Amino acid sequence: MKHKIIFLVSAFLFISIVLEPWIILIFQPVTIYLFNILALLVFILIVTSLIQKNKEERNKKEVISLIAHQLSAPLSSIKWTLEMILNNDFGKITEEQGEIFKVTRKKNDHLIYLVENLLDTARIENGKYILNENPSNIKNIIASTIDFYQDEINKKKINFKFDEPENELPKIRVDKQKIELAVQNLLDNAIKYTPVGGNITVSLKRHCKNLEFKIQDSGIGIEKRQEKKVFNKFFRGSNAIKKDPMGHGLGLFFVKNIIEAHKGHVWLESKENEGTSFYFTLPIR
Amino acid sequence: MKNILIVEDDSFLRDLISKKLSSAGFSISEAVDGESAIVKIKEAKPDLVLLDLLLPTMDGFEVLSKIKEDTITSAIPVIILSNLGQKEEVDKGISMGATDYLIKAQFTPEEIVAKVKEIFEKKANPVPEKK
Repeated sequence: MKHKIIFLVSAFLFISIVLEPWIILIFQPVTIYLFNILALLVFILIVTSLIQKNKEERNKKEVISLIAHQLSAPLSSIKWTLEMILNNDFGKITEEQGEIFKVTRKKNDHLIYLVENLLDTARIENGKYILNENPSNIKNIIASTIDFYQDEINKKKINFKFDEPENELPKIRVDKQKIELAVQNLLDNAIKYTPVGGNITVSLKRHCKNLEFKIQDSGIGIEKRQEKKVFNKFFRGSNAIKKDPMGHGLGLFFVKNIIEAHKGHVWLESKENEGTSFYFTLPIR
Repeated sequence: MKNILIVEDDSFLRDLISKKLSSAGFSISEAVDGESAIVKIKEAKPDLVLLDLLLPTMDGFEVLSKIKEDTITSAIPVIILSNLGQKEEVDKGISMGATDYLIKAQFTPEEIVAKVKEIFEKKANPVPEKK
């Protein structure tokens, strides 16, 4: 609403400036004087609302950062308590108790992962997204992420294929942890939104001055009119919401930010109920 | 027996670390804020300090710089304990002379014990630097 007002006012101001010589020609000086005062007031209004918007953005980021810090302290305490219980530090626990606590630990680790992601969001938007870059083997990063998801792939009887590059690919300067996160998010989505018995193919190849990664699934796909929005923060496609109502809508937002922070590009192709392919490139350097 | 000073304002976390380290065979002293930490370090001269960065009054960096300034205490190894998303703070701490760091939400109590033991081992058997 506010933005509409700003737009209308700016449009009015612009048109007025264009029409001013004609107004001077036609109207009396007093009217021109009043008109100029009005234009000045409008200008002040635009500037102050822009400053206000900027302040709100900064406040929002500080709040996110503060909340994330407040959350991570108790989460650490819970993590440590669970580790000590599982280690029999508070007395020997039964196998059944152990199983329950292992599940609790997994849930807690997931919460910590979310808070970490939340903090990363705030830092991306603050421009403080510092990358810890080192020459890395992208093929290995992908292979180890696939390993991590092997159980789920098997459970869903997915036909999984990693099209490895024929020739040795050069190591490239990337933040290994962040690229792992990006690949993890894409793989997680592909597995989540592909039905039992479906297909997922991952490929990595060299394309001119870049390495190009592709992940293709035979999943639920994305609605055509929603394709442009999937990388937006908190956005969840209608098909995705139906399949997994609890998702947080941050996965692809991170992927885009991580890849673009490395000066790469990310894009997709999709067909509803047939599948989706996500691509990203990373410059060779 | 090696003595470790734990500087951490969260009492629950402090108790957990304390319990874990003492069952690993270390003697433990505790401080809940920066000022009492500095006093304890000067008096008791612990063999290692676990230092939380977020403390109520004086922050962890001030404590760290005071430890490193004083020649009597500057050789005591310090492990900084940080929360998530504090990479810049960790880098700052290392550049100020901290021996190592741990991110509370990512390390387990066992891993802390292992790191502490590793630091004591390195101190006892320093690897000669290759020139």
